[in-house]
Amino acid sequence: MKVSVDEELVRKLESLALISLSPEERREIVKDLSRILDFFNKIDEINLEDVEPMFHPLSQGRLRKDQPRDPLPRDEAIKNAKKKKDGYIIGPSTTGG
Amino acid sequence: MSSELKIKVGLEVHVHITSLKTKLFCSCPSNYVNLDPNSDVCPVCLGLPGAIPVLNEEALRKAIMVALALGCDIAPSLMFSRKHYFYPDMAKNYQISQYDGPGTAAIAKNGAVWLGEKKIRIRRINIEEDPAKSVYPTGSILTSPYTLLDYNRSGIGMLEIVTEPDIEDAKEAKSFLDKLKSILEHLDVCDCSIEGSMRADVNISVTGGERVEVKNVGSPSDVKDVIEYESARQRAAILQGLKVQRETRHWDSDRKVTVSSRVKETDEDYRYFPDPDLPPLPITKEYIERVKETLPELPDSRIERLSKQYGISKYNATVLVMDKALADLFEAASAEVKDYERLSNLLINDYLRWINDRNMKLSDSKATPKHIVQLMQLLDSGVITIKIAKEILPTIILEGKMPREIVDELGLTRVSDEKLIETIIEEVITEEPELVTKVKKDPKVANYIVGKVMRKTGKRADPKLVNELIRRKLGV
Repeated sequence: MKVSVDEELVRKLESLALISLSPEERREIVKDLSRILDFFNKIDEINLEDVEPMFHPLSQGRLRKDQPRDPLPRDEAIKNAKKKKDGYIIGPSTTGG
Repeated sequence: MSSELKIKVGLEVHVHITSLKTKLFCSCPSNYVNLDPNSDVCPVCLGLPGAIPVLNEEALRKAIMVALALGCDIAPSLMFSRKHYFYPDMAKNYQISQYDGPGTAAIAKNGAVWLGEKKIRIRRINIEEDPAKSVYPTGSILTSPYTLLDYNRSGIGMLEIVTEPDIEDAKEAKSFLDKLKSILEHLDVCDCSIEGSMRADVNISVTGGERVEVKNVGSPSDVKDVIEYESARQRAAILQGLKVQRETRHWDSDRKVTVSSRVKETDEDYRYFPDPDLPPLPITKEYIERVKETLPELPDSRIERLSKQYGISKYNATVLVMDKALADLFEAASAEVKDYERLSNLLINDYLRWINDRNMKLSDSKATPKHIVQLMQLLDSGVITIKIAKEILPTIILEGKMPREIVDELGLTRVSDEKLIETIIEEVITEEPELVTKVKKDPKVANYIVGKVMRKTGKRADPKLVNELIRRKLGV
């Protein structure tokens, strides 16, 4: 799958990543992303038709018994939150307004 | 004219696996309802860096049970993917879910739910975690300057059950959800009476228009309202020559309308990839067989059995089974009741209807099999009339008082003393003598007299007997 990297794509990635870049940074990133994708295109040239994809170096995941354990004390749980109110963590408005 | 525009509906149903004791990937207790905010959390469900999720084995077993009950193909290996989005309800910026893509698969695919002869195909089933709960300080997502977050719900185990767009109207969607709910209750996967335990995204399109997705609809009856609203809105747009665009909308359950939301996300935007914290886990045939052996009786076979074993109508059996608690109540009471059809009629036409009419849930009722048995015995032995039974049902449901007690306290026993009834009939005729001639011209007037007698006896007279006595006395 060929992806062409241009400023428009970078703008979309900015919005998905919730960051904003300066015009210079944007030009830099276009170059970087194109080079990174070229590496992947090189890897894509290998014929892997008969090879099972591997997603993890460990061969098998594990399971846990359905037995409850004590949760964190609340003060400790929200200690690192910058803003809080009545035990809630305060987050941003979600409508962009 | 508008009826020529057909609608197509597909549902993405999200159900909490309420039978689990812990969350999906950590050992925090799963019973988060009514707890203080952020008091049921740990590094895993808070999404703290470095915390490693480990799957709850019971969640896997329940997912396989649902897959088997819906006749799905089960994936040979269990894999989880990260679904990325930035939103305050998901601290680690991705939700652990499953994705049908290169090298990775949902736990189950290609099943079906049957509504009589109609087949609603199931596209896939995912295991996934619920995000945190957002509380909007002004009560509305639109006007709140910030969001309050409670992570108690974060990490609760869920199944996402996705249908093909086989549903053709609002009523069918409701039937589908009722059937699915019954299946999940019989499997002891989801107690759907718990607020918010079953939610759905509704995909709906009208011939000639694009697909519109209405997100996060809170209950089966809201789903019905959404489909009615959206099909009317989309049909009207098309008939006026306007385009129905592909978009995401939200359901405003207070105003009963859908509202367009600006976000448009495609699968690519979620940047799914296999979660490196959760290595794949083979699902062996032996394991599936073992789960299969533990499958309980499912709604379709229970309907068959009830109608055969108790000789009740297929219709009554179906209504009972669509609410597992009601079918359980019927079977428990049937041990001491002889007339099963009458029992099922009482439960459906009087008990269930009273509860539904008040938007209550069966689980809110304080009636136990003992109450129902005693009520039936009072009816069968002629101590009370059906009218009185209906009248005392609310007290049984709301207060859990025994029927006998209520009847004794209020003196509601049936009046079947012929002499007494005859005296009351005399009274009515003395008050309105013209009735005697009227009833001879029109025998229907007898019903009017029955009504009068019933009122005078506080509905305690046996209406059949009253009718008989009137006809005998007046020679109708």
